[in-house]
Amino acid sequence: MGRRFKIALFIGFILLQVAIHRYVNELKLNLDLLYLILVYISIKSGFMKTVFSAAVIGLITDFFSMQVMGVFGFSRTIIAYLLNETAPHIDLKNNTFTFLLISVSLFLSNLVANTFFYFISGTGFDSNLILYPPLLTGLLGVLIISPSSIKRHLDVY
Amino acid sequence: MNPDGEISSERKYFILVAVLFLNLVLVSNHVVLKDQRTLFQTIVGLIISPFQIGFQKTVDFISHEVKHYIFLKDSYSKYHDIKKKYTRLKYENYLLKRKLNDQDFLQKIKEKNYHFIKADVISIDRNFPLGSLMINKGSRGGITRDMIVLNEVGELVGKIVEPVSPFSSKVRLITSSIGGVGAYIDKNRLEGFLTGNNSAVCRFKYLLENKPVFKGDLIVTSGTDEIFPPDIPIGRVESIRKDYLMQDIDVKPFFIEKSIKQLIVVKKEFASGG
Repeated sequence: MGRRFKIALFIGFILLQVAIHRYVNELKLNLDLLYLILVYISIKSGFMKTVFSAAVIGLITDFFSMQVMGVFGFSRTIIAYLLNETAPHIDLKNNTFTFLLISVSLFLSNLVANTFFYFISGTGFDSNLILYPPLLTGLLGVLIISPSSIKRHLDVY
Repeated sequence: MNPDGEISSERKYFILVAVLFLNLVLVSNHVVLKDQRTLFQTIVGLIISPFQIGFQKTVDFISHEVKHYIFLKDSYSKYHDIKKKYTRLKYENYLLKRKLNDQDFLQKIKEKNYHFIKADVISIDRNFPLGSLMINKGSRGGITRDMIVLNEVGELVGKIVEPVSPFSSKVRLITSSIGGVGAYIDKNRLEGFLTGNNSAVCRFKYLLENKPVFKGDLIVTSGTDEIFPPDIPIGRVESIRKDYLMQDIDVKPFFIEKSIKQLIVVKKEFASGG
């Protein structure tokens, strides 16, 4: 049940991410669901799985964002590595820490990406990239793992 | 690996650096080649775009069915409204045709109509929604680089940039911070250069301080950039700030306030041929 639930949730996230990209102007929601998958993999998996998943998820994010290929691949890989190293020392039972872990890490990752965009194409630092997605994604991450039944299925600790 | 099956820290760092380096190679490859299609982009595009298109078609199919079979309540009154509009448009069309016939334009337009390609938007850049978007027509649909993209009413939206995969293409909007459009003020043909900054307002540059420009003036393409054909409507002047030598003019593109779910791609030979 746990494994099937996780796979269904991951597929649901990917489909929702495609929907968010299509209807971003109507929805006014700037969520990064793929990043939630990455956080989960980083917390639960070993080094190799984390780094390669981060690179793949980063490249998919690059494709969705239609910017320079490799930017999100780079930023997600660094942050996934840091998450993988630091998550064992953080109390994930506490929702505040979970929120901070997701938000701060996504903020840093997107900051790295935005810095690349700044140097490559002169794009300024944009709150649509470095502010709203970390906050909303962090909030959604906490909401998802709040119910104890989901916590049990996902086994996030 | 050590005897416990764990990866040694040196090896960890080597793998991490290798993955990061590969990503940097991808980035630098893109920067050097300036929007040329890379192998990775093509591969990733080929893998993901069928899913995007499949999803879009499924959603469109479901919403189409729902609209047609469940929400039929007000369809009869809508039908009458459309009928009225159709009759009015038919009459307007008749009048316009007569005018065009007088100027011998109609035959030329008919010859060139097949150069338009209709496309649906499948994805919008989430981080910079006014930077770029992706459409569901690619190289198999006859799309190539630098084709111009209009909205449903023929106002300028942007142009095709690579990657162009077989089933999808990237459109850089005129509001993007990259690139620009040669443009002039329609009523007096004063020329400038229109650039975006990923916001809903573009900047019309290089117009001298003493040249007349007013709020509400229509801005159209000039054709001097040799990418966008002349006289395509872009937007209207929203605000003007006089500077020492030049004027800072903000232009609000027409496409911002309209739906960009469906777009029209103009084939290159027609675009450059005027």
